[in-house]
Amino acid sequence: MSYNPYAYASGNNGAPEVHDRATKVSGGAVPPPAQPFQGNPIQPQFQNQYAQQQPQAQGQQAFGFQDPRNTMAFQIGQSAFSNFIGQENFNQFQQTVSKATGDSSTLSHYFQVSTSYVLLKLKQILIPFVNKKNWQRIPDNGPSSDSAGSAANSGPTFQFLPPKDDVNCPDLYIPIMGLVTYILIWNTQQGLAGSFNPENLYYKLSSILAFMGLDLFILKLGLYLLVNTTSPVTSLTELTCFVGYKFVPLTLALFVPGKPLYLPLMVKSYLFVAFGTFLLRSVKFNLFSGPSDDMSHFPELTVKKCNYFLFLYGFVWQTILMWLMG
Amino acid sequence: MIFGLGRLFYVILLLINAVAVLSEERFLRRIGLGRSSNEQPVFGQEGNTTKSKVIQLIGAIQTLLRIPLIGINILVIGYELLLG
Repeated sequence: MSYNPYAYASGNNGAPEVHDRATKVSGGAVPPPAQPFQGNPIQPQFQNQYAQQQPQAQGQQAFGFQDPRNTMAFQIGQSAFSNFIGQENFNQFQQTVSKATGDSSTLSHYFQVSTSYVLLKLKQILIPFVNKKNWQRIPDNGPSSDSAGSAANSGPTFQFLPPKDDVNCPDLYIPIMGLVTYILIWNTQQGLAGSFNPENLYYKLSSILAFMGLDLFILKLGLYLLVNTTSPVTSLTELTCFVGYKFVPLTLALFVPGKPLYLPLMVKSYLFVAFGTFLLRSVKFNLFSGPSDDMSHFPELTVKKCNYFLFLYGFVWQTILMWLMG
Repeated sequence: MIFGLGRLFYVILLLINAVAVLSEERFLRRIGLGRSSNEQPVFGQEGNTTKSKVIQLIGAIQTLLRIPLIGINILVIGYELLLG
């Protein structure tokens, strides 16, 4: 994506402002930035440039000096491109690109976390048995102007609340932090044991990425074959989130002293079981609650097969993987 | 057990090669995964059961990837021959 995903100009409402994450939208949820961009080429040119000059006149320099320039440069590039190709083709091109890159939402959605969210999520991963309330994510009804603008686009819709408002939503911050922490701690332990080699950092990273790639492949294949659903849980970004959560129990398993033999075994088996439960519950309850859910009751066979697969995957395969990686 | 991204790439390449050489008429029909056995009255052939999805997946991999696989295989073979 060549534009700044954190800022967009909305000429839809007739109130030209540059939206950014710094502005507080009254709905409480940040509307997805991808959709107004798809509506922009339809609008006449002057409205876009009017929208760009307004924030400079209003003196909203708090967004940073670059944002209106970036958006204006993008508008110019976009208008040149669409004049060259044709506006409908440009829309289709944008939709094809976004479908090919496979994002069900912009990546910035998964990084909107807060401290309390991180702590609650860590508690959920390590002790999933305490939380008896429902594990469903809260759908997000965007403001009506967005739905009017996006009705013409059949692009990927995105309707769940971002992580800072909803504990059940997966995020990408914890997996990435967990990955880096795990690699650093593993190498620190190797260093304390006297066999540290700076190349090992890269070997470990490559090995972990290979395991994650394999994991993603198996999970995506299994979910595709078993379940016919359009829920955003099965998109590749979200599966990366779920696969990446296992660094949290792995990092904790590294801290266990290895001397009395039963201790690491007990701690590791508890951590793996807890992680399996967490994974199973969070994926299962969100699989069938997609945004456009006409049938309230899926055929029993798919539900059963899905449960079996997720159970097998969540417990057996993850245990094998984590044993190999740890 | 450390296996890196290179090994994973080889593994996936071999698996996709294996799927691409499954012959439709000689093998898949015998075991019931042939295309003619996948009868859906729905226009557009939307598969909902696992079996029809598997058939679609195999068909799609074969149609799309047979030719690029030739190129990738040549590259990998050349790499292995020249650089060990």
